[in-house]
Amino acid sequence: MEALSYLSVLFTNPLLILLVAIGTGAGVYIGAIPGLSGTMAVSLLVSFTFGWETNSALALMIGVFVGAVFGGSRSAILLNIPGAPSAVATGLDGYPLAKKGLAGEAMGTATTQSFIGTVLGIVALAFCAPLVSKLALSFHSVDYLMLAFMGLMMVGSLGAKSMKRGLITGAIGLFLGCVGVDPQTAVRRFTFDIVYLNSGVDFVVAMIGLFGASEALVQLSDMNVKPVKQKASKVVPKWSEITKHLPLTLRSSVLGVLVGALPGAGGDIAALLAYDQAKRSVRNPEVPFGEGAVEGIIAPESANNAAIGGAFIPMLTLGIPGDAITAVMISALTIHGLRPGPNLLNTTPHLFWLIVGCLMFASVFLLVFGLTGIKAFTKIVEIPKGILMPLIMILSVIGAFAIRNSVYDILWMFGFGILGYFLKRFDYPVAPVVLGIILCTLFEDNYRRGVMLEGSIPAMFASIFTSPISIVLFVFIVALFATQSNWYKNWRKKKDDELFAKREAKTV
Amino acid sequence: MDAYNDAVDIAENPEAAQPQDSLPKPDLQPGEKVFTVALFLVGVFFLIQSLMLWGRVEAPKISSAAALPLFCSGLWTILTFVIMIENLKKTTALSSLQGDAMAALKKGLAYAFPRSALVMLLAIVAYCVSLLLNASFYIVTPLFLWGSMCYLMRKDYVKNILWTALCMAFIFLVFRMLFGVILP
Repeated sequence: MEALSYLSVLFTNPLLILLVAIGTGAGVYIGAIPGLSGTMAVSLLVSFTFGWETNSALALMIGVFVGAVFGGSRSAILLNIPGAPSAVATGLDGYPLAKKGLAGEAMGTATTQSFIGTVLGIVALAFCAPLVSKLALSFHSVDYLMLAFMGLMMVGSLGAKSMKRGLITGAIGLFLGCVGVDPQTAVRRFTFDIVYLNSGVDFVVAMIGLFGASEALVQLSDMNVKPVKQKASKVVPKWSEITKHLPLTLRSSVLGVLVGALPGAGGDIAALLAYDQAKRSVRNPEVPFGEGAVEGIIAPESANNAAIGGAFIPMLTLGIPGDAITAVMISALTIHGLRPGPNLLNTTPHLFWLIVGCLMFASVFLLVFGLTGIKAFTKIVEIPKGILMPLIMILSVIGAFAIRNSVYDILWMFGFGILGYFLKRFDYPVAPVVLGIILCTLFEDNYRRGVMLEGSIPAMFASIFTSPISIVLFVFIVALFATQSNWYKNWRKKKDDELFAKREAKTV
Repeated sequence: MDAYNDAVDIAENPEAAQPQDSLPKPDLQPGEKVFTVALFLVGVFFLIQSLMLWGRVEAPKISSAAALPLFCSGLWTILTFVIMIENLKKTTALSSLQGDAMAALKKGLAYAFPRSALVMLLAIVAYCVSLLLNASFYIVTPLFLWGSMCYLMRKDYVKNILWTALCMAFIFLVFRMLFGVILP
């Protein structure tokens, strides 16, 4: 009852609802434009809303947050350029759908799944916050290491021609993630006395180059391919399709909440893990993964939006940011005289429920803004290549520069663009490079911490069997390995054949 | 230039260049073997660098700053070496040109650098250099946009001015005015 009374404050304040709507609408477009990110927008809003009342400032920021996480999928589907790192996995199947003229359908699916994911994240935040935060706090370094390892196992799913090629590009990504001054020992690694390299390779720069600039160059390699006319008549997925994939949506959303709740692991890692689990668990997709499987959109989109609710859990219950945007929001709350942490729920419960309410409204507005304007968005793909590709190059330049206001970032972005171009031209997958850079810090920090704590690698391995969470994660990893083996694949094929034969016999 | 154009056509569509019955479909793209060797050599370079770092750091080395780079560069080198060995038995569209190194080189380069991509690459390099030399973003960007549009479309020179103006207006309004993003 108390919660309802706090929530009613939002329902009776049209200004707050309007601000959430404005924020969500703006967020969708911010996320969709390569070069603008949700973190950047929320950071700008902190200074912009400095003099505002706390509730109004929060309402606008939450709207932008939810909209921007979803918006990243737009450019990933239409141009194969993820607007945000959390949309990297969406492009893997979204872009092939756009190439078939089904961008409208892909964006419709992304919208509904993002909505469901956000709602499930809110449910977790509202009802399980203390439980999830307790679980997240129980994660040791070895657990984080296993989580990163599970993410790295995704290179097997991303390998285009063979797993070896995925492993090579994944290793390149991990290596690039190591460049710069080591934060633990201050040792300079592979900087070659270039001051710029001391701070390391920014993974957003790498992402823009590997996906944006390289895609533009690859597209230019064959100017004879005409832009595909998009069918935008069927945008809203059928109810039967949503319910058919509901188990996958639920699995991915739960994964999104849990990963989002882990400090240092946000929607990007959640989406990649969800894509990987979908690829392993979905039997006989109508279209193979990587060629436009709808499951390849459902899993990452529900996971990255569910991670929003997850990211708020450690922020509101422990004062620890779940991802970059919640880190900025902590500073915003501090500016407004609040202190996110264990006491926030006791001292200012209205604020907790205001955030829950704003998220709820944002998810509804997400559905509204997501399902409208799709026709206009699909027109982007129909712009002639000769006009679109130079614009993509310039957007990539602005996006790379905007991160640190450094011209060197532009050079690095194009360096990654050229690397990505050659990798794509010779059938090496580029996504594992970004995956490697994203996961490097999580993997390396926790590996080294784990070894230092336990004394040796065997001791660290033995420590897995002392915690229930570690055991569960270890079992997951073993299962992931097993499902990649030829033995399992043959067994599953045999089972499927038997099932098919039985069905055939029944119909006869 | 004609020879280059022919090479581009053959390299982009290797199967069309040779009778379907006479030769099987090539296993690899033209120039892929060379690319794998290049990847291997870069991997070896970073492996050596990682070994040097391993030598510099203090014990316990297994949890040092050199551990992960050494593992990654080692994996990178070993796997590219394996692919290199596997590639020895595989055919490319250039395999039929054994003995004619110049023709093979031409076709390989034509596949790696199709004309449009090569021209755009050079344009990007020129654009980046001019930004590094403190040229104004508001001057070099429209020039780059208009120049590349005209080259890629090969028509509509006047219409492209309008497209360029639209793009610049979008960039200025959304990035500079609305979000206060600092432009290069």
